[in-house]
Amino acid sequence: MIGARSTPREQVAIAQDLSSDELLHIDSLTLRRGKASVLDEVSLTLAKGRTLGLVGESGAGKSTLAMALIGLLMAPEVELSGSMLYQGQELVGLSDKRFAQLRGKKIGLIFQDATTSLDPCFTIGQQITEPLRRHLGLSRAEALERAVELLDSVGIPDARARLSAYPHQLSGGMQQRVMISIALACDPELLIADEPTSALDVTVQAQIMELILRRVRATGASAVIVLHDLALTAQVCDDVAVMYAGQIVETGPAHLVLEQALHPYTIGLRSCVVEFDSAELVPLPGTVPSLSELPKGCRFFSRCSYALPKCQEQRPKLEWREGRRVACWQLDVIHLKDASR
Amino acid sequence: MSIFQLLDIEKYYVVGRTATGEEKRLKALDGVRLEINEGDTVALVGESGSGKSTLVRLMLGLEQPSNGRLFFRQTELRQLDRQARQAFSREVSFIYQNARGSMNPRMRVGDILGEPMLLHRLCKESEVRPRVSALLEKVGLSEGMLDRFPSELSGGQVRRVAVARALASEPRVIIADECVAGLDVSVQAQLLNLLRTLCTEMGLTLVFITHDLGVASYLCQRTSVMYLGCIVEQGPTVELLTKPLHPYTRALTDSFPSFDRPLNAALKGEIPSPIHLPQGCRFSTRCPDVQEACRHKDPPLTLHPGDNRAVACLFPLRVEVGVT
Amino acid sequence: MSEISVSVSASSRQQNSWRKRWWVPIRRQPSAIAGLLIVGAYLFLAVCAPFLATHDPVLQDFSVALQPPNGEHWLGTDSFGQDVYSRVLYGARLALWIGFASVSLGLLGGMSIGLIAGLVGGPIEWALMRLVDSILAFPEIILAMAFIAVLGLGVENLIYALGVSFVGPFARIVRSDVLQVKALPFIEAAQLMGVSSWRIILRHLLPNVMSSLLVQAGIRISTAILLASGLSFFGIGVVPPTPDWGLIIAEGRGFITMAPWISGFPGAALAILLIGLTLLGDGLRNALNPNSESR
Repeated sequence: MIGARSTPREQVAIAQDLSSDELLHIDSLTLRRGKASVLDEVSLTLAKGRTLGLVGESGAGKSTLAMALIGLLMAPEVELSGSMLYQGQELVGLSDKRFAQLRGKKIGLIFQDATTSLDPCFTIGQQITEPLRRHLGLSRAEALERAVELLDSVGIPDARARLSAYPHQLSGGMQQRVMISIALACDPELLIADEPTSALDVTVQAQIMELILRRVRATGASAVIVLHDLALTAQVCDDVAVMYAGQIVETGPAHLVLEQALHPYTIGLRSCVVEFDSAELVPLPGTVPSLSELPKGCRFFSRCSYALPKCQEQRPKLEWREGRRVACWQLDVIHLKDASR
Repeated sequence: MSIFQLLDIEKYYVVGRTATGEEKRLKALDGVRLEINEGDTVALVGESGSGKSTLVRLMLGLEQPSNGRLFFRQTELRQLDRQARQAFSREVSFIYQNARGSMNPRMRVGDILGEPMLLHRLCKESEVRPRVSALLEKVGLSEGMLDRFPSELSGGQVRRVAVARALASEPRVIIADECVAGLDVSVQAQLLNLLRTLCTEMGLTLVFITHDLGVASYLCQRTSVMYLGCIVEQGPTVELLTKPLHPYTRALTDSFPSFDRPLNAALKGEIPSPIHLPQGCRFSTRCPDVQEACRHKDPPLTLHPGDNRAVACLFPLRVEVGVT
Repeated sequence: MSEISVSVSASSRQQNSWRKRWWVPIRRQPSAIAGLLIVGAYLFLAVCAPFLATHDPVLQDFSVALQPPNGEHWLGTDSFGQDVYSRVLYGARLALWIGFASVSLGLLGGMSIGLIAGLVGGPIEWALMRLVDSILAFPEIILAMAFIAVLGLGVENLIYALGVSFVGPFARIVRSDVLQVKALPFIEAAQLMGVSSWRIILRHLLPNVMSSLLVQAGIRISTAILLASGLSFFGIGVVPPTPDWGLIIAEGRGFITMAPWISGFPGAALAILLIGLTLLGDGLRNALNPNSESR
């Protein structure tokens, strides 16, 4: 969604205006893997040129959601239902062949660990030119030229010489840059990144995140970035969706949601973040429940300090509150508690 | 009371020979001076290639320094006799980064925790089980864990067992290598609180390796920042992070994601290879404030006048009074 | 009083955990269950052979020679008038005994060499491994034949011969397992804690080497049985009239058109046992391997 507006009516009006600007519209996406309910009626929209962060802990389903967007889920035990509209095209149930046409050309993907995602048997040059020749139909010479441009743009020194290098000859940071250049090779409209900097040193992380943002903004692409670092998400993403055990519990402008959280889980997450002057960390009690044994209602019930019996039975829907959408029955109570502090 | 004293420690590995037949050396540690006293909580902060893990391995006696001297309670580590070495093993516990890998997969948790107790003869065999249960409780695990195998535990639980095992020998010093990295934030927070409480309650000396400045600030009163095998800055953690003296420390703090300021990719380029260390100051190739003199002289770690801080820089950042 | 109750509950807890650790993963593997059933049946038959046999397996009676299966002789008789059923039954006993004994021998020898080589390293490891290489240079059956030639025929010599030929492969496996486990972090952690070398070997190293080794050993039993039968078939294994399947098959070779049951039943018995052992070995390997997907 676009920005922090206060009334739902205004929001709806804007939403209707923006429907042509919508790149991605996910509606009640549900994914089951055997007995586990991995995604439960996830609904999101992503406008053109916006960056959405997916945060949450293990089992939240954020990586699964990212993979679902690009059709890289392991069928057959996977049951996917609901709707994922990419520029009006339905992605749920799309054949592998059609997905392959989208991947690389319209949707680019950056994995977490470049070391295992780059093929060690092929040179960098071969790996970058492959999508260029396949999707854009460039000739070998044209593709190589473009590859040099791309490597340059991601800050790899001596780009032409690097084309003939193998992945293991580059450092972790360099490999990740190569991954980014492959993902961006065909100027995709949507970039999906699954924890792109978790395996990197903190100084390199900053460089890589800045690079991703710069390239995304330069091309006007949208991005869905899975992150576990809340502060990084707040700085890097326009919007954020906080996920817990397969559900979205809160979503809206990143700074707003993460710094003035309303959902108990988001509040809990925020108070676990270690900063330079953290006086006392207040960890969330308990652990993430197993995905095959979840309550009917709100999945955060077992760890929530505001829980009511109602929460266990009925699942709260996402509703507009203070400029973001949040799913909780106790919002008024939390709000009062906050205000009284 | 000095626990560890490291004097000009160097460690290099021979990784081959050049065309002329000379040895190619990978310098993991290039002259480290460090002193750790009883009750200190010290963080060793650095990125990859900084040498922090190697330093700790030397402190544990797993490897020998190529040069320099290493003292434990004023006796040189390599000169400890068998009995003293056994006492060292009891007093100094190590928590591995790979907690699950550091435990025998065929041993149950109860046996894993009981092993140090029996080994160092801390109690009778009949007392082991209640002691182990008490230990599990201390780290927040239930007694039901006793009969489980490490492969049956979650990431957070296995780390706690690692902490419990470190405590089992009733140590005075705990050395931990990135033992909260890669955990969910809430699990990490639980573990950090546990470690913090244990240190204050038991008066433990803690040496904590981490790349995460936030964790360093939460657990440790002092921090040593390492770069390419050397300590480049040292001092009280909070001051070091809020008013850094070394440009590298400043780059680290700037790169650390925070809610209050935008992301700042303060440092360009990559860490040079430890096989070919830069001439002069090792940070000169990436330092935003580099000057000509930096390329010729490698600055030693010198005490900063007036306070308990040290920095290895020819032109340390000025600390303005009254500005945070 | 409370100590007793603690130890009782502890042992029952242990029992439950063993069940969980061994039985449940095995139960999930259909191949393991099938293998277990087959091998179990054979074991039962082998152990109870003296009670289940209808005749003395080496009693010759030419008046009833070459009879097809009938009420008196359930699986017929061979050219010497010996009861095929009883011989097959005792054959199972012999086969399993040869299998277990020779593999155990090979395991013992191979483990010793492999352990020393893996732990000590250096020139001793080099020397031992070259010794093993020279053993491995010969195919197992050739090696066994050579030993039989030196030692002579007979069940005992057959077991020794096969055992020696197994030392090579086991030594290799143990050495590589030891090297692999030696490098794992928990070994170093134990050293750091001050655990004595002996205890590290016994408590930390060996248990982690043994499990995969035992599965390997189980698989080798079928090899041993096949080799033994093969050697006996060629007449350089057991001494007749010992009821060995290979020998019985050989004896029935000349009558294959007239009296196929002589070779047929022991042949089938051999084949089914080998299949059962293979299934069990595969199933065990899948069940006990924590990384296996089919768990």
